[in-house]
Amino acid sequence: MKGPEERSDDLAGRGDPAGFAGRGERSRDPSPGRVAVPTMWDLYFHGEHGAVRVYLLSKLFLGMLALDAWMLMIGHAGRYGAGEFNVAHFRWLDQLQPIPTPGLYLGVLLLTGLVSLWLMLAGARTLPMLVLFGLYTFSWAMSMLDSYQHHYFVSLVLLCMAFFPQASAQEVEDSGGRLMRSGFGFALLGVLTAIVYIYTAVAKMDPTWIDGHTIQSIPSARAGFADMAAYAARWGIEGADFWSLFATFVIPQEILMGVAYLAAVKRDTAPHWAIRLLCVLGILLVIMLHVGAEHMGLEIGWFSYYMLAMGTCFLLPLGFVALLAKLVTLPALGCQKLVGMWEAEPAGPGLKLALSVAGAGMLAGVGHMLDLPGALPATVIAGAILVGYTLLSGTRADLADPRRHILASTIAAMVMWAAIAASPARWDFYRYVGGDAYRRGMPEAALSAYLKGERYAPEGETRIEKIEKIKRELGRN
Amino acid sequence: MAKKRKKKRKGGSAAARSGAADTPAPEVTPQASPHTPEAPAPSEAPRRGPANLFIGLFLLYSLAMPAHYYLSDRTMDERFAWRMFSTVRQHRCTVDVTETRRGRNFAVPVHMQRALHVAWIKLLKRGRPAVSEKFLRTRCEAEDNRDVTLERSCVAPDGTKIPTTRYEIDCDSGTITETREDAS
Repeated sequence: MKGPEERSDDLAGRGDPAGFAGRGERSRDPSPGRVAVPTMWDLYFHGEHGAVRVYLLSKLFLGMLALDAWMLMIGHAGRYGAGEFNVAHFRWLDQLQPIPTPGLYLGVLLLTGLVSLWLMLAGARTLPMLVLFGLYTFSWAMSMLDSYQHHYFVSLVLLCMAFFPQASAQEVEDSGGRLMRSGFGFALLGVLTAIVYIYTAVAKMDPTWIDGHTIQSIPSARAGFADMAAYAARWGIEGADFWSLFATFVIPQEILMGVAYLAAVKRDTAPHWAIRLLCVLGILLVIMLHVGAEHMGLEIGWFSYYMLAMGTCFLLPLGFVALLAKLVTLPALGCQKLVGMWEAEPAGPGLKLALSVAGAGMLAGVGHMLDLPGALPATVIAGAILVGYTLLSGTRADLADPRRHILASTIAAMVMWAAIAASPARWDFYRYVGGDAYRRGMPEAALSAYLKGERYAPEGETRIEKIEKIKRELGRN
Repeated sequence: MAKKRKKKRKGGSAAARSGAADTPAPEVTPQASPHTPEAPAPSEAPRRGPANLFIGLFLLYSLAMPAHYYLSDRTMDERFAWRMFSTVRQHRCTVDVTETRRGRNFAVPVHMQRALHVAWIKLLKRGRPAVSEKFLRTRCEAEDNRDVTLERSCVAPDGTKIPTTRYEIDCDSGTITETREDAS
């Protein structure tokens, strides 16, 4: 163990990985002449890392989150409030909130997606990220109907991301991806991910898992890895032995992935061969686990893709991440240039207000066209925030030109409409509402939902027979 | 559990409110960002206090939530336990609910699909204690019942029968009793 002075010298030699020195200065404690020694904690949580890692991860994660909310999550909204029954994830939330309705759930999800995509386009800042964290967390916490653990995980990721350092596409591009930044969000996310992987491994230290019974009881897992089982049988590892080995292997795999994430936090400032090796091993195992999970067809939404995006940004070498980031920075720079030219043209408060009102109108129009409960209120709220920001920016010099936010929210609204229109989300929503209403003895409500759903039925899908059946029951034929 | 979470969130908000001051200062590049004030303060340690407090609380929460599950005997509620590919979730379960109206001596079965959305029935089958409790109380409020009983029977993935769990609510007192019956 080195003494404090030695460690301090090392830091200077390594370019001050903890970010203690700025503009050639060394941080000092109040007593003159004494150098403040960064602790291991400071080195780990407040040290530097490649800015391109958090830049790329923010863009990928926020984009995926918006699409996830719009294309996957809203399909299940019909469950909310059915039978006037609900249990929130937290008892105190049950005391505070009304029984959630499809409108409330959908409204929250649509707003979540809008904020997420807006932050992706306009740049994520701490306060709006915390708003996004609150919205998203409320979307799943309002009811145990959404009990996906990965939604809880996404919430924690968003909380960490709120403390990511800022870096613009220009800065990332100018530095060739070598720009370093410090901000504890990155290290915190690395540790969180490690905790998650290690706990998932601990959870599997159970005789039923190790025997292979659990994995065999998942039909898609059996089918997905049937070829591998057949291949193993040729080597004498048959049936139960194969599944037991297969399941047991996952335990060290997940532990190693967790350790790799812990190491990856320091990958850019402490390029020790062991850290590099762990990260390479980590990314291979991440790919193996999450591509495997997708292969099994588990009902885990886009969890595998979120984790693959995180693995890419955390575990790959900085140069490779910078290369991938070009896919994002190049279009971003083009857009920034156009927005910059637009913002360079003088515009009075009246014009800005008119633009924001037009943007709000566009948002409300999209909300109306979506034809989903809660969509119009959600988009009207988003529009009101936009107009409010524009009015506020006229009185406060520290607020950015509202035109970029007007543009970003308009694009977000258009993407929302396209994503929902292109996905079977509305079809799922209305047919699930119809199915549930029918089961609970409400044929009128079921018929109404099924009829609406037919408008959004993907090719080859219809509930026309069910509709005819309900009509006969109601004496409508 | 809920209290704990609330507390941690308060911690998070506090860190957030402090904004730029929470974050480590200087950069290797001249660009300033909201997180990174250009000039370092005379002393960094006190400025990192709120951030460090937030980090500490966040880590404590992240470790404690799953640990609470693994150390408790309420193994059915896996929400915050990071238990992917859960063995518990692979149990095949059935749920039967019966209720006795006031003035009657016999119990009648509850038509579950009429009473609840199928997603809640799945959660009852998974044995979520909060859902079972709320459902029993709802049946007491909705109908003129004297008592309501919920029985959950499961078989593990290896074919082992899990002891049947029985929840019974006395609608007058609101008391819920939980009993386990040996499967054999």
